[in-house]
Amino acid sequence: MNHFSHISDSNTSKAIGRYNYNDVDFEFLTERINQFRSQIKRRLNGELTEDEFKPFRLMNGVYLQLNSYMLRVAIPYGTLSSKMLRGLAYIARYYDRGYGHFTTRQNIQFHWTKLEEVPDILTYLASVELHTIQTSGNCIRNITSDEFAGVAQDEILDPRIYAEIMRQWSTLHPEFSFLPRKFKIAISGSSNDRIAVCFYDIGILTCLNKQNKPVFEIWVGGGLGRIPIKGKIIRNDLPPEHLLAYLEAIIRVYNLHGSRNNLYKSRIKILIENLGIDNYREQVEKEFQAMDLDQYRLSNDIMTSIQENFGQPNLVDVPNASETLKKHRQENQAFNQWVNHNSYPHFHKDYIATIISLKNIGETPGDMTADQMDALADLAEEYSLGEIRVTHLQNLVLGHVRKDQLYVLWQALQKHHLAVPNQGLITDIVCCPGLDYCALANARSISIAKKIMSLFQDIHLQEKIGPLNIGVDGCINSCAHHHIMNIGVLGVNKKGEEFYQIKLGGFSYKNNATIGSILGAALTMEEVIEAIRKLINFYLEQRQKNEYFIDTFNRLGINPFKEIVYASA
Amino acid sequence: MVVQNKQANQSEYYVLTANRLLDGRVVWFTSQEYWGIMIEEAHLFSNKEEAEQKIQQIIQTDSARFLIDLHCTEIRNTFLPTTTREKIRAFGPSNHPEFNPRSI
Repeated sequence: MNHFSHISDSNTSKAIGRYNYNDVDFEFLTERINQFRSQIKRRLNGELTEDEFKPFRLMNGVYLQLNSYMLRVAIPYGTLSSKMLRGLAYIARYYDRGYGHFTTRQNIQFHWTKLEEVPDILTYLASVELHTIQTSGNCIRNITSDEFAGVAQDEILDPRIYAEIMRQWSTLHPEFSFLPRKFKIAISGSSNDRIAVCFYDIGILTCLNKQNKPVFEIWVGGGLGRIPIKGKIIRNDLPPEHLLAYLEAIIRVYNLHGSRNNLYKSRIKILIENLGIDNYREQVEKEFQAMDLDQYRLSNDIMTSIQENFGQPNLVDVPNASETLKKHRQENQAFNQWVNHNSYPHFHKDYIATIISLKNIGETPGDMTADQMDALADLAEEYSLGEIRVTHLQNLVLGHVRKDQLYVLWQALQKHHLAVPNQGLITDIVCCPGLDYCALANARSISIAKKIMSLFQDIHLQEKIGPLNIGVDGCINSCAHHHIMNIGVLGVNKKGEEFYQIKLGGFSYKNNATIGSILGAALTMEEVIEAIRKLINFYLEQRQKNEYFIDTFNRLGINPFKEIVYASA
Repeated sequence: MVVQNKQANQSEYYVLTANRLLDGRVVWFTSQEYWGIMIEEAHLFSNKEEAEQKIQQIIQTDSARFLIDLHCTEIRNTFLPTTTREKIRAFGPSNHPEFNPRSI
């Protein structure tokens, strides 16, 4: 079979919103795949033991889960082309079991791959400009970004150019390939936080200084997991040209002083907690000043050379686009409802961004079938310049939809169950794979998410409840961000049985970010669903005009909510 | 020592399990000393010590090369593992009942 024959060659122009590979990139990946192919061969013929092979496997994104091997594919800054999405569909269909799972780090995971087929999968991925390098291990992981990059009205600069520069800089960086622990970076081109900036090892927002020039606000030492810690601003006026030098200084100090003998104390957040942010900043500034800044400077030439490899969207003025959209909204209530919840303003007056919810009632949050991927790739090509974004909340975005075409797009999305009008509502649940797949998990998370979604499936009830986020984690590693969700559910293990702890009051927006508070003793699966029903009913009774769940919680405090759940126990 | 027959009145047993190197699938050690994909094929050990002894024997053989995460786990005599983790390993993820080894 010719693996590449089905990929359309119709669009030979550069894919927009992302870096397009050149020959050097393809050669690098080919060499890397050949190395891994050889390592797998040596493992299969017994030359390498599992202990010897495991670091190679992980560095190439291959995890052994409960039932099979999982392959994690990086989606740099969460941006896909139609061609890439069709490529992922192909892998889901021919190498996996017909679906993929989008994660909160804008990656996609295939849960049923075979080790012996991984080199072929990687070869195929490379042909669509994707890879799995550094999706595991103690290195700099996939760099995530704002899903409305290049779209948002408040954007100061396009963060994806800088994310790409960081991707190239951090890929196989010799100094940072064996850090004390994994390292996660997120960047937004806006000062508004759409990336949960203070919960990354390094989070970057963009601001304007007094001279109206863009500068980066750099947050460090944030993270979730076993010890959730809110990051701190280490520098609020970094000129973009010094981004790499400053990141290198931050990570060099961490690499030197981070703990390597205690897994639970080895993240940068612990080091900064121990040293204090002022001390850490001082060490970073000292390192930064000692560097040859000219060597690291992101000159106009460098910026231009990267930018030239990004396709640019050709946005056109469309007569009466807004009026047409308004008319369609007036004519169709369901469409209007979907636009209300699942759209986002575009900087161009005739365009709009739309959020494709992957939170269908009865389905696994974040999962997408191969058929849906193919369908969305076609629709992206027809209606959004061939570009798709992955959000950190496990949904997808079509960023550049003409307002006058949104109704036709919605009709097409409906046919593929991709027009669920629940973005930001209670059924838009973030959920890790949990114990159904993950070897680290203590409890199932998908079952909990599906039960909550089923309980609140009535869209009118969801709208009455209003904006509210829920994260369900199967373990304390917190892939589903339960610590910073309004309602967080954490699976725990008690003598082999599943129990669940509830957290309330989490919030992820920069200075107001809050780590949720534990409600009380862990509950069984049935009890936790009933507890959430009671919590929501109590909120609906107690809320004041215009309050969201988080507002009511912040006004009342945790005790009345605790009383509601545990009083009758 | 491998127990050949279930002892009377015993309700809890141990079985040996692992993931297959080639494809990661869950496998169970059978009385015929091959690795089957259904838990009902598993050989029953009457206590943990015997199961662990057998693991030590297997580790010395060439077949160990094709296994990862070889371990023993407790089951009820209905071939139902006692922990949720091992139930999922035995019967597949609960969000995809069609992936139960019996269905494939």
